[in-house]
Amino acid sequence: MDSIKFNIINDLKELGTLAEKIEFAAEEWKLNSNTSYKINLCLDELVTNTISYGFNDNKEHEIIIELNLNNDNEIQIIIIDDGIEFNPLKAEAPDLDSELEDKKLGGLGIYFVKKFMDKVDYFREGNKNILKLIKKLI
Amino acid sequence: MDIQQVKKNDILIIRLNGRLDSNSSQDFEQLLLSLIESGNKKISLDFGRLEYISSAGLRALLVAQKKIKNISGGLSLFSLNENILEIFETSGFSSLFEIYKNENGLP
Repeated sequence: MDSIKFNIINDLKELGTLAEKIEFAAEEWKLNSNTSYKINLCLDELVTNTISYGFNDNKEHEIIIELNLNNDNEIQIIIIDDGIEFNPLKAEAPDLDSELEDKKLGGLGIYFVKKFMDKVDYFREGNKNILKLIKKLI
Repeated sequence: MDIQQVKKNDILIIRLNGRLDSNSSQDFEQLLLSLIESGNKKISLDFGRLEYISSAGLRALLVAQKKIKNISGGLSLFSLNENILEIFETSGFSSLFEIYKNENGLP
């Protein structure tokens, strides 16, 4: 099986579900711990952003997540939500070099996504935000 | 995430077990801040059983480090696994804390 699809609701407790699904994918597809850590981290950072800032109606929303193994050499991750239009890739870059006193942390999560994924694309289609990430397997 | 505290000489060691992410980081930050407020100047975090940390966890550590440095103290870390060490290095956070290989390295 080379595709794992699941939904979570907009609650940070669902990060546990995310971790379980990725662990399952890692076992099925024999991913090493560094790769599965980075997939977990990037999904976590994006989903945390969406849950925290993506909805303004106090209602339950579903976030659709898909993990696909392509040609045994890359993992494609798709995240779809129906929240307010938001492209996380346009977030402000974090400040990595500054002294402790000055350190601001906007965008650290997105920085990890761009650093650890090989390709990251955002689309807006109708009322949906769609993120597609690719992680190449060595 | 579960926490255990043990005092060793003048260092408070906090052993973390589990995951430090956006779900657990606020409570952890509050715990650290209150320990610092009670006067603990030397706190060392045992990452030996910490499986995972995200930017939310890093943020909590940063807030605590700023606060403890204000009372001339410091937060140190030890036993980081390879994956977590990479996160610290990639983000530049490895330069913000004393990081030891294991508990024996503590001063």
